[in-house]
Amino acid sequence: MIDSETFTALLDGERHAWDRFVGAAAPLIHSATARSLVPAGRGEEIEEVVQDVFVKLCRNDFALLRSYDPARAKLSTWISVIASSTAIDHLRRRRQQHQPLDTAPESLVAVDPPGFERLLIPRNLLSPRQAAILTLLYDKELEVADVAEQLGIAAQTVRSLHHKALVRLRGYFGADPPGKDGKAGMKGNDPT
Amino acid sequence: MQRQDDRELWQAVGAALRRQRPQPTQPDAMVLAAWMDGDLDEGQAAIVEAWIAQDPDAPQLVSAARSALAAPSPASQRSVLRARALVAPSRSRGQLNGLRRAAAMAASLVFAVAAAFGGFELGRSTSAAVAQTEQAMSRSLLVDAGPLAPFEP
Repeated sequence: MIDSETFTALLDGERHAWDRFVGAAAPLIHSATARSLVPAGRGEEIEEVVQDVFVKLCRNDFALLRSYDPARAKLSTWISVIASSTAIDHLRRRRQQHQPLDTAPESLVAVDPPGFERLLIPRNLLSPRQAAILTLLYDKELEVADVAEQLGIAAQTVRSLHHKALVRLRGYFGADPPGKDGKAGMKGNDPT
Repeated sequence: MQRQDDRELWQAVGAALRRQRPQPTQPDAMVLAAWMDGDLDEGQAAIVEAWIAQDPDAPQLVSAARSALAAPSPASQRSVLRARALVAPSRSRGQLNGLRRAAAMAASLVFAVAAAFGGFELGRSTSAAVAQTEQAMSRSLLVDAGPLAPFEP
């Protein structure tokens, strides 16, 4: 675990603070990197990405480390986010280099289903969290437990928000919901 | 059947919402870390959650960060050594400060020795000049006086 004394000493330019910081942060950075790269079949690139993370942290006289604000989040959480973001950026670059469009995952090239171009949804019909839950459940086809894990909330909260969202949608569109035969419901039709 | 109806209903509504609402962009690391620690207010958290729902890479990013926090794994010794070498101790700020102090002390010492030597040399040459002058003056007095006359009472 990275202690605050090491972090402060590092920013103060103490001689061996970087060595101590690397020793403390390496397991966290290695783990976040591995958990991003291994599922994508790029486990052999872990060491390269771990090095990229450390380069990011130390370049320009530790500019990125100096941007960390201890009042907003834990240092370990922030470093794990930096590491997993670097790994995901690495995977994106690899995809762009090697993947032709016709083999890209459908989610990257998907277009909205036709027929709803004129459907207007009131701004407050669904909360952003309800919309996020419906997207994860129906578009990403995740299970309730996975959605709960992703959003860091209880599974029961996911079920409750899902249920309330559907009640609101059904209540708004009534007997003529959109989605049937690729047509917008009556309430959703743009009056213009 | 109900689930299929719900899915179709959401597909229509979701497509409309994506058109109506701006696409969320990836929050910066500080915001995302604050969200993971549960330190964001509801409005800020909703922006992060919308990004997670829309960006195909977001769930993987968040999941990897969470898993790493729960179970860090040892990095290879090679990784650690390479990372440490990025900031060599001789180039660290503390070391540079030490070198600067040593250089300043050495410069002061050289200056002090030079000043002492210069002072010594100046003193020595001045003494020699004075001695020479005194000798010359003595010779001149003896010559001017001429040979001593015998004492006659």
